[in-house]
Amino acid sequence: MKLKKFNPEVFAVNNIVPIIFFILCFGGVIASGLSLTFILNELVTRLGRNLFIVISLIIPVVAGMGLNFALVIGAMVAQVGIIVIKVFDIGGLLGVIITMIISTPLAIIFGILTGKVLNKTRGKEMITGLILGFFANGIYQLVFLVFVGTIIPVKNPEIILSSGVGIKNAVDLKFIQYSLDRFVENVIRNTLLSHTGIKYEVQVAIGGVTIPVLTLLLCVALAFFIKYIMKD
Amino acid sequence: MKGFFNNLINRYGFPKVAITIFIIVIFITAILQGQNIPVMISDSLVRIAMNGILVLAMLPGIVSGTGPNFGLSIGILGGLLATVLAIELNLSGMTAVFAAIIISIPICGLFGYVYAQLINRVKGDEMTVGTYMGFSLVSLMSIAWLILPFTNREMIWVLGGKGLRTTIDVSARFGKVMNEFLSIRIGDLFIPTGTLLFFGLCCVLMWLFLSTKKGIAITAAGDNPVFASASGIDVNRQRTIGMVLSMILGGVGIIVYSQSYAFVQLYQSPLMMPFAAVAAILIGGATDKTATISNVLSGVILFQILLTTSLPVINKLLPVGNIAEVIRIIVSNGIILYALTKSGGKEG
Repeated sequence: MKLKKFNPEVFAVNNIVPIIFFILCFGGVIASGLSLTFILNELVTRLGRNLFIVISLIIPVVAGMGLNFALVIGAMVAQVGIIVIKVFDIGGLLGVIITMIISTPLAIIFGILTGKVLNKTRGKEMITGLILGFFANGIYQLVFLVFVGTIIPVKNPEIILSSGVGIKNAVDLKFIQYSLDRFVENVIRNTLLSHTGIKYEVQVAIGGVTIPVLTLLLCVALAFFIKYIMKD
Repeated sequence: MKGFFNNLINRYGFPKVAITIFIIVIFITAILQGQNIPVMISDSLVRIAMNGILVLAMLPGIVSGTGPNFGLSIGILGGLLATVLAIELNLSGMTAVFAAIIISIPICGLFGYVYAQLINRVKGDEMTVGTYMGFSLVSLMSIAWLILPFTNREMIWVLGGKGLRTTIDVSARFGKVMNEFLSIRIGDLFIPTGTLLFFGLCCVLMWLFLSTKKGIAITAAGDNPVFASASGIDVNRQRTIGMVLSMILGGVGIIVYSQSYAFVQLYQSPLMMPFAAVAAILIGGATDKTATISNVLSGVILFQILLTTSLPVINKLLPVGNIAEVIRIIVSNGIILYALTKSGGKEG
């Protein structure tokens, strides 16, 4: 492969959006006056939260459907799983795994349905996806604000509105917070470190920056999975 | 029976038939519940007159080939700007409404022209781009409402003395002036003649415009851009005219809406308004490529009757949360989805 000569002008034109964003972020960091450690910490946390979602956008783009604006449907289905574990109060890593087990088949079903709609609207996938997201939001509200408590009996004062019908706007998920990363922490603490006797305090931390290892590893695994799929 | 329904669906389209059946069911339930039917009819008439022009604004966009104007919120913002300017000038009554309309026309026209330049560069993706342009401009204007130097005490926050309120009460100024003009009252039944007449006038003007030479050129450009440009029609120009008209109607529409509602809603309220208008014209039987005045009329009548009458009936059946709002979301987006799947038939 012949290496192309680096041309700053071409590089700038091709990557204009990231460059502008970088400048904006840089200015923002200076203007905010926050410490670099704090910003890096927040950045890494958010990276762990959002990376998986963003990576999931790759496949539809490659398949020629543009950006998957209907991604919210997958997120809603996952919330079904989360609400189930909240109702049965299954916490920790087990809770997260059960959520995945419940939501994946549902997500596949809704994915097939979405695909059918999108195949009927070729050339307009993005707007269809967008409207599909809004439509799903309507159904979602119907199920969780109206049906829960009336048709679907759920009795858990922690998540149900005081009127007995409908799920609260925000459900406390402390019981599974960071459970992926706490798992790593516990494994390290219990298996490795108990034998060696080294004191291990927080999650994996480098220079004051806490890193959610397992979450990021999961993202990397997904990235490799997508790369593997696209090879064929 | 099945043949009868198939016949109806072939003739009027599935959404129209489904919505009509739903409305009939609602009316029967309303009578059984002992609801006040004349009030329900009056409310529906007010809502039809209120939203009519916003739905009519979809027509020039679809006819000129840019599809349903999902960026209508830009025109709505122009109309809102004109309304607050009219209040700032301390106008009231019918003068305020027409002053606002006159101010809004150049503003919305300019917005429409600039927006059309963008839309002409993203052919095929007008709907997505329009939605996002609408979203981003609503947010931009939310900043503007806060920092624009308005001084009228009726509009600005009581505390702080800067920035416009989220809802401005205009009932003392020009609330319902158009509704009350020549209005008819029979017992509980109220007919907002003035607003209905104004909506009718706009429809007639649009119909006349579309049958002029210019209007036919716009329709031709929308129908078949390749053929139109081969016959010497500047397609981009026709699309620009369509977009400008659509935005102006959006501005006029929100002024009529605000006077009927007696409140001016700023900030996030224009965000989802285009979707309701798109849903209405699609219920009327329009597709994203063809539309007529009769689609506008039947669409706005059916959609608004559905929304207005379902609210008291469903609230009595199931007094839970905001189920009427949920139904509005499902129906309007469901209809838009249905229309997209019907017209998108580019199999291959």
